[in-house]
Amino acid sequence: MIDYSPFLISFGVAISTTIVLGVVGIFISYFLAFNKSIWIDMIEPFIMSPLVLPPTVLGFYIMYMFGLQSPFGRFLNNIGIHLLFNFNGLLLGSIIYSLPFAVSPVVSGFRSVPKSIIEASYTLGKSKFYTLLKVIIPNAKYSIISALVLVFSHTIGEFGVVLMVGGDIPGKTRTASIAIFDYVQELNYKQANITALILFAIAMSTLIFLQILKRFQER
Amino acid sequence: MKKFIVFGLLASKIVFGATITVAAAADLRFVLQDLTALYEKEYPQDKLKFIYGASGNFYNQIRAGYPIDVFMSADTHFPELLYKQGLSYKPRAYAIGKLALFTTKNIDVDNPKLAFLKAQKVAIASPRVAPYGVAGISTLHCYHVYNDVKDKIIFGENIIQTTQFVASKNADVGLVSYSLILAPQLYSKGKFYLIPQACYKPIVQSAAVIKATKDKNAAMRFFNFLYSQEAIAIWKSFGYGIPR
Repeated sequence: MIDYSPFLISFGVAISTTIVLGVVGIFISYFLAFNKSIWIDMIEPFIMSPLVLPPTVLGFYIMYMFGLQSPFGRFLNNIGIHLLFNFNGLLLGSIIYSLPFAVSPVVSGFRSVPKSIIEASYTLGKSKFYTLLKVIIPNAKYSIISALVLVFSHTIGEFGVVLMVGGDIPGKTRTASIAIFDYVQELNYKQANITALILFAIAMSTLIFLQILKRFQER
Repeated sequence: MKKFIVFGLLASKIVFGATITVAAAADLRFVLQDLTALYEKEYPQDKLKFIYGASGNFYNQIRAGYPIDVFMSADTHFPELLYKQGLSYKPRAYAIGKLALFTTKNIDVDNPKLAFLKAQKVAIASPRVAPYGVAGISTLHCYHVYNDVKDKIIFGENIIQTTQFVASKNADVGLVSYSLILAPQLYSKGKFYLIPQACYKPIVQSAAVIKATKDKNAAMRFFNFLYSQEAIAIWKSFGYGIPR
């Protein structure tokens, strides 16, 4: 009776976003955390901007950049890249929208890794990449895990960007959070309630998980 | 030969089933449930999918490459614009919407002017994107209450959200689509008053097949169905006028 497709779409987007941002976020965080250059300081606000920007601002610009009414959008379309109203669009919007959640905890995690052990690794002749992989990341693993959990749940919960960039197409881009909006509009409060409760449970369990993680970290 | 043609027609009807995605104006949410049931009985090979929203938003999305087959607007303006830009086939009017004053509270709607003045909150669809919103604002002017009411309007993003504001008693009265009130989900919930047609420009609603459709035949099949005798009976039962 309950329509599962919005959940499958939401999970698909959230898992993909988490994987992409898990990798991309670590590299961005690395540059932000260990680079003293003024340019890096100027990039940081842009990465953090989705935290404070209304989702509609992002949705609007993505739609107008990649839409067929723009020359760039038509160019992409001609070479076979479609970034609106499909899964790729949801993914693109979610990656931009959740980027601060992938970066912010990891940057502070990286910065709290003791300088001495990083330098010890360099002194032993290990490369920067090796040090990142074997020294910095293991020492910041709790920050990375909490970033991934935050990205996942934040992506599940997003609404404005996915509505504008995805277009609410049933079975394709109608995510669980948009489905609630639709159920309420057709006065189908029962379905809205079931869907909302499931999302509520997911959100709460991720937060509880983070709380437990914090305990582990403090030990 | 004749047999072959008949067989061919039958085969085409059976084999070439399709999923038809329709972006539909929000006032159509309930009438399309009935139309879908009828359509899928007649063409069991096709599956219909609907996205409901404000016509103006759909217009923007279609220009950006929205992958839909048929656009059912709440006016004639947006489909005509798409047609002029070469984005759709020729649009055609399928129904004429009516505006009604709706309440689920103890307010006498038979005297609209008094009802507007008495209400604390008046729900109207956003006139920027929803044709029913344009008619709603025009109605306030018609009753000479615009200046008294304008600060207590709550704008719905589309006409069904506007109706929902009234149904949930968050607005005292609302100017909504008559067809939505006639839906079984809402009919017993409140009282309504049909706004005289002279108060607003007729809400002639047009549909068009989008050029980018993946299956023009299927899209046309649904498009033509909207103007069939059986469909007209359903349009009428939801209070729509039928365009000539």
